[in-house]
Amino acid sequence: MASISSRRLAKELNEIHAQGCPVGIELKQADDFVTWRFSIEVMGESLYKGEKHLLQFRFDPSYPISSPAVQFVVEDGREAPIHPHVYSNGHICASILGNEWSPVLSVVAVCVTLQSMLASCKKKERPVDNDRYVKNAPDNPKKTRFHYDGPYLFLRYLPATATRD
Amino acid sequence: MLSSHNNALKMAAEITDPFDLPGPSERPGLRDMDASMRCTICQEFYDAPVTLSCGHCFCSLCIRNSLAEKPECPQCRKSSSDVHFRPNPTVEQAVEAWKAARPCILKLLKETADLLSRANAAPVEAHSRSSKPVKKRKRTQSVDSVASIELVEPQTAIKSSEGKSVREAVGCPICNKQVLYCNINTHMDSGCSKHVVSRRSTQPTQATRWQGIFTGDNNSKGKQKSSGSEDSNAPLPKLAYGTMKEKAIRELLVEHGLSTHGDKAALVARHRQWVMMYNANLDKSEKNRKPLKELRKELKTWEDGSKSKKVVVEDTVAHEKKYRSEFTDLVEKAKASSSARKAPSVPISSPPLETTSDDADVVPDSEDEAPQ
Repeated sequence: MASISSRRLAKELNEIHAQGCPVGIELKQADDFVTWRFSIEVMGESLYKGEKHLLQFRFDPSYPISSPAVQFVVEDGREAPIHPHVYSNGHICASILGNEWSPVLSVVAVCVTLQSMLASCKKKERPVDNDRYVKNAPDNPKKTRFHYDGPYLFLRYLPATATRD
Repeated sequence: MLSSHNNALKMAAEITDPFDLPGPSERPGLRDMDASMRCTICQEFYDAPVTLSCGHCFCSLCIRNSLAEKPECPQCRKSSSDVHFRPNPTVEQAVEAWKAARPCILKLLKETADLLSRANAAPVEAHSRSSKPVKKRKRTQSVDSVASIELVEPQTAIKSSEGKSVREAVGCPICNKQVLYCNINTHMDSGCSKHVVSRRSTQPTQATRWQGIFTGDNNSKGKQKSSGSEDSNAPLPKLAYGTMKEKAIRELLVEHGLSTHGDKAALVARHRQWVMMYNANLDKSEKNRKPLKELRKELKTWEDGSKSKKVVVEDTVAHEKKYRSEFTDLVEKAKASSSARKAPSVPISSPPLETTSDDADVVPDSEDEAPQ
């Protein structure tokens, strides 16, 4: 019997194949139900014009009850976007990946949220505690307890299904 | 390897989703219809649907799992808990009907598509004329007969005192319990107390009916134990495992016929999941409930699935070499902690400390276990 998490991921994958991803987001790798990779690009005018970044999702058996581990890929010459909430090791401080995660969110919803996080950025800079954090950061960003302070609570994102009726 | 590949294939075949149906430009409403019959957490058709106080609906087990993690509605984030659940038999019924109709609809869609493509592919008039009208007549006939049955049914139903239909169990429109058709009126007159059919199967045999009488149906003789618990509709209470002794949890598990294997954390996880599955099962309308045996099996598959996959070490010698430093490190730590435990400063009754270092995400039940 297939587990709930892989069944749900199979459905999400099916939807991506049937409908395609939103503009600027591309599925790069989904060979199993453990790791998926997407390329992400900010469309239109923004500080990140022309940049393309690779986003990695890791799922555990309790997905979607627990959030996926999401980070930018920093290997083979790839770099994480320079953003006040993205560390240079690729880890992202976004509330929906931590305590604001909801099981009705999906992989594509997370991609769209991170895309809009980049799009709305006013100044390209690393988080203030970047060096300190990167030195001791765990491999899995889910083991970090981020502080989601200030304006970034707006990252809360509810999917379109919430307004279906 | 091969078997896992087979499994993947099987899974792909058995998974259904709204994209099996044509989009709104072709057949308006169909895909949305399918989507609205699905839980937004698991994306499956609602299984034991329950409505929260905010009005959003989920599978009972899904939302119980989600609320255990975070006490709010996943859709609108209003705070919520399982005391606010209302089972939703109306949605349950709609889902059942849709599940039954879906294959027919898919078949019909395929047939019409085939017909259309054939008509386009073979423009030879004579050929298509010879085959088409026959089919058409057949279909109109069958449609006619279906319509007439539907029209006549309400009248004949009253008359049909012959045959099986009187002995058939039907759902009471008031309490939703199964009642024999011939008893439905007296059942409703009695305030829904008399003549309730207790079996799960819709076609009762004489034997099971007698069995029901002998075992005393609603008499709470067996109470929570053995087969008696199958009839009780009371949900299991949530427990504060942190204050309970391991032995007490073991006893609870034995009471429900569950395995008592593993350490306290495993026992607690098992019992907690059991309570959720048991209570979720009660949120189904009675005829759809699973027997406890099946629930136990599901609990087992859940447990097998939630265990992290074991890393199989093939070359043990190389493995030992590679991780020598970590092994010696762990041994040192173990020695240190064992000598610390022997030291008198540690309170005698303290439970065995686990030597986990960080891993906040591995211990979801920390608040229950933390009173030390």
